[in-house]
Amino acid sequence: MLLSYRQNLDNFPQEEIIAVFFATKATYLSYLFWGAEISFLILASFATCLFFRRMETICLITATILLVKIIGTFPYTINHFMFEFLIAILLFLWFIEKLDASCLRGEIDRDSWVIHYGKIIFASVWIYAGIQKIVQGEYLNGQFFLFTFAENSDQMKHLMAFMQSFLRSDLLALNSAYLSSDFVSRGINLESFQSLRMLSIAIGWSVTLSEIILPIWVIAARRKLLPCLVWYAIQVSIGYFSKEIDFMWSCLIMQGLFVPNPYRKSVLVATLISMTVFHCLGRFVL
Amino acid sequence: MKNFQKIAQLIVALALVWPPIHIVASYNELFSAWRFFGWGMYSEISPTENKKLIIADLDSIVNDELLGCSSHLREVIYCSEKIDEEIKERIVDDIIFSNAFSPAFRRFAFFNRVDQLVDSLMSDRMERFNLTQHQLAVGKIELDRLSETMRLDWSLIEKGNP
Repeated sequence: MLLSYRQNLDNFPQEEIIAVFFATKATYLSYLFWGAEISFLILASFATCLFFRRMETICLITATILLVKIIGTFPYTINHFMFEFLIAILLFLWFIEKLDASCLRGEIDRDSWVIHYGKIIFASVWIYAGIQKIVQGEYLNGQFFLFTFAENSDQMKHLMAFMQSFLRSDLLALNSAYLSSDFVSRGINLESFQSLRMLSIAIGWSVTLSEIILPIWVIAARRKLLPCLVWYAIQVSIGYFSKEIDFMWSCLIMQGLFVPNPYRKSVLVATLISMTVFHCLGRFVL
Repeated sequence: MKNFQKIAQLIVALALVWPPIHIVASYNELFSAWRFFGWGMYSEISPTENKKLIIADLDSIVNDELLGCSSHLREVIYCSEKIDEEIKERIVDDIIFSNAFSPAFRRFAFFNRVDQLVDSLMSDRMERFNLTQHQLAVGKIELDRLSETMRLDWSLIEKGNP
């Protein structure tokens, strides 16, 4: 059975798996934005193209859907729509080039230029995200996490309520996440606040540094399995806690391209199936 | 055949060149770090004086509406029903706000990308209506979370200062 699975998987280049992933995601997006009827038509067209292995058409439809969303929501477009659009365009170019050359099957196990370019763009997303957080600064003071913790902590709620009574004079202290000496002298127990503050700052810095270091580690490492696993874990954590689940799936499939063979295709297929099941369960069952 | 790869190379080059430009431009507050296809999500410039003021009412937020008053940009305050009406009015009239974000609004804004949206919208509208820094613009903003688009009802702008 395993042998059969391997043989079946060998028939699908990784580019096709990626293309099917983004097509599935585009179908889901079309369901969210345009409703069941339109998404059913899109799904049917994808299925027809897949049956005839017209991958370039699949990529073109995917890119068109994303472009419509980008234009429709501009200037408030979600950034990862553009990222997914670029990947779809790159895949489209690659498939029509291969269609031209009629040599698709010959390069199944080699990393094509579209895989390399996809990796470059994806790694740059992480690295630039980290750099921008450092340049702009505010993320690193842990304030965002502190307020998130504060909302979920009874003790912090009391503290916040107390601070609200000094709204005019002490909001600055609240914002900077540093308490003024006034508050200390009023006898408020700040122990948990201080530890939360340190934890918030630590998380802010950890996220930022891991955004820069992890892609470089994965690219530079000779044995890529461990850094890939760490990268996966961090990606899932960030996606879950920041509620960026939709973007997380796109990231996971791109991270799959860094996984060494012979695991790569299995990881890509597992990501594709996981996303499909997650969205189907989330939308139609739960 | 090579042309396709060259087009792809051009796309990759643009994808690599744009983010640094985006970082510099958003740092100089030309636009929000969350917008225009950069990778600055969740990053923010530290609040500075005379930048932006948004008065957020939690009740409005719960109802998916945000009552915004814009004068000094990038300053946000939270008015809850716990605050005495008199104090609330004094706060609004004085337009003296510290750089505070309420936990509830802050969290809401981050997860729903409201503050940056409001930043952009307010900036645009202030420019369009030629509002001075000390004039107040009052807009009713309805959030459509699903499509993440925003609509503004600027008929309220004629009311002037609240």
